[in-house]
Amino acid sequence: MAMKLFNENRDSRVMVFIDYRNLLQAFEFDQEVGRIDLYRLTKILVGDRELIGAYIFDGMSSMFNEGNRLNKLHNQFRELGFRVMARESIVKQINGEYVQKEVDVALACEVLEHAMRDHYDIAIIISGDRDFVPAIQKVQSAGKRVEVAAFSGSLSEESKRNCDAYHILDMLPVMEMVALREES
Amino acid sequence: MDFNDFVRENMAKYGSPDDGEISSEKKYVDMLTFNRNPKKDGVMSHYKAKPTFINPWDYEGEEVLPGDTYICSLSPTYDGTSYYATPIKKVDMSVIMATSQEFIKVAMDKIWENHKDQIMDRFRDRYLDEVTKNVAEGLEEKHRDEIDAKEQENESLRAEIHRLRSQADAREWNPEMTAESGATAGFHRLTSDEIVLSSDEAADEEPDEPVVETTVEEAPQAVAEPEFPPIREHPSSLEMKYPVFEYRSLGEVQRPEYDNPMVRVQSPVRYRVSIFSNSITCDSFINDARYFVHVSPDKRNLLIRPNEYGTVTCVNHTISVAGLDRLYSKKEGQMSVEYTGEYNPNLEGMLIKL
Repeated sequence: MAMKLFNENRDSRVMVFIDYRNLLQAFEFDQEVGRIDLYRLTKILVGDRELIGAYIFDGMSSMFNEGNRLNKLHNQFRELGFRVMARESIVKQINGEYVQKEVDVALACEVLEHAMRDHYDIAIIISGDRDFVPAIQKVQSAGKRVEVAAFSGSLSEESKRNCDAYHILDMLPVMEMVALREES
Repeated sequence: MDFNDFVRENMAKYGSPDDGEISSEKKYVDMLTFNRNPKKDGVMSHYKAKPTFINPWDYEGEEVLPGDTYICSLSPTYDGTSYYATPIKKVDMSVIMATSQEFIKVAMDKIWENHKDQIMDRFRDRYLDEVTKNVAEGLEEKHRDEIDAKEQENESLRAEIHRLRSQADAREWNPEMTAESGATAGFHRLTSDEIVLSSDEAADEEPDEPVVETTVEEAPQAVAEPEFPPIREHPSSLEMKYPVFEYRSLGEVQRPEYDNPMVRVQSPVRYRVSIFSNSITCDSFINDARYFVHVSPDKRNLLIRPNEYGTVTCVNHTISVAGLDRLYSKKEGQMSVEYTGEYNPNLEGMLIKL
């Protein structure tokens, strides 16, 4: 019988860091069926451990005139208790493609800063992006554990190898289905 | 010996700033401690309850600072309301240590007499600390056996708390307990007749998902120390943490490795659920209760979770949800598909594996 390497401790302090765009881009679910419920996702990932804080990192752009819509969405997250870190950072590349800048580094900085200040014992990074690997290693050097959560299609092998535990989101019931009347 | 006499006799030894002698005209000799003059610059003291100032015409020595103590010669002012003091010798530790025991005693008596309040203020806390410490040490020594006994009792109580917590944790794994919590959380608890056990007709009705008979280990009569359930071997860290996501057939015995006679293992409580195109029906749904309905992105897990803020309201044991027909495939002409739901304490709801 294999032994689990880490003991689960209810007193473990957990902080959650969500790369919102990365999560949405990797998400291939039928949007008509349901919408992703970040509150539920966070609750399931944290389990019965102590949640210290949950951050959502997102980019914004006035180019799309979606500021108001995004602001409303961000405020909804804030009402649920999330700390939303939104940056005006979506830029148009030469090939015409819009990309999000700064957000990954902002997330990495936040993860590192809280680790150095001993604000948590376990960081849960909801993104399978390989760019976070150096940050994960640094946080582990500070004596913290890092868990990564992502959809199977977006979870990089490097992240999987370097984190202390990983969660495949495909299997978690985190899509909130809507009532029939609400849909109609 | 009076202090004045003592000082007069010994003054020649100490000397004075001017001539080293005390004039016979000077009537008084005393030891004074000077403080800051609150009304103007300089220092002052009190002699016989009257304000006493440094005699500016008769003293040219070292500056007298607040807090300094001097042996002084004293003469009354012309109106008799105050005194002039001429410092003769500063009294510090070197002076006190160099003098005789008799002088120390006399000096200390004089200091006590003149400055009792100040001394008491300064030394009260230190004295009380010292006394308290001594008393505490004495009491601790006296009651050592009693303290040891109490500490031992404290240790045993801690052990008892630890044991009870362990017992409570072990009980969380007992499906019987989770079934009860499920009932109170928004699901009607099924009777023994209603429960679909793998050993009865459910197995025949669901040939695609063979149900293995559940093994029930009876707990021994003797009370024993509970143990934590052992950790199962599993390839995925997620599945280690959330054993619900174990893609075995529903009928399989849960946690078969927990073959531990100390922990009673029984089959989880299951519910029979009918899923239509836009609704889910289950006898265990409570009318007017509110539910959240969640599905996993891979469309293989459907979770129905009772919650007062739920988005779906149960009517006639049925909840209406959009898009259910996209989650599973049904044969043509088929109105609904039967599933078996299982209460999952980790997810706080009924989990249906589609």
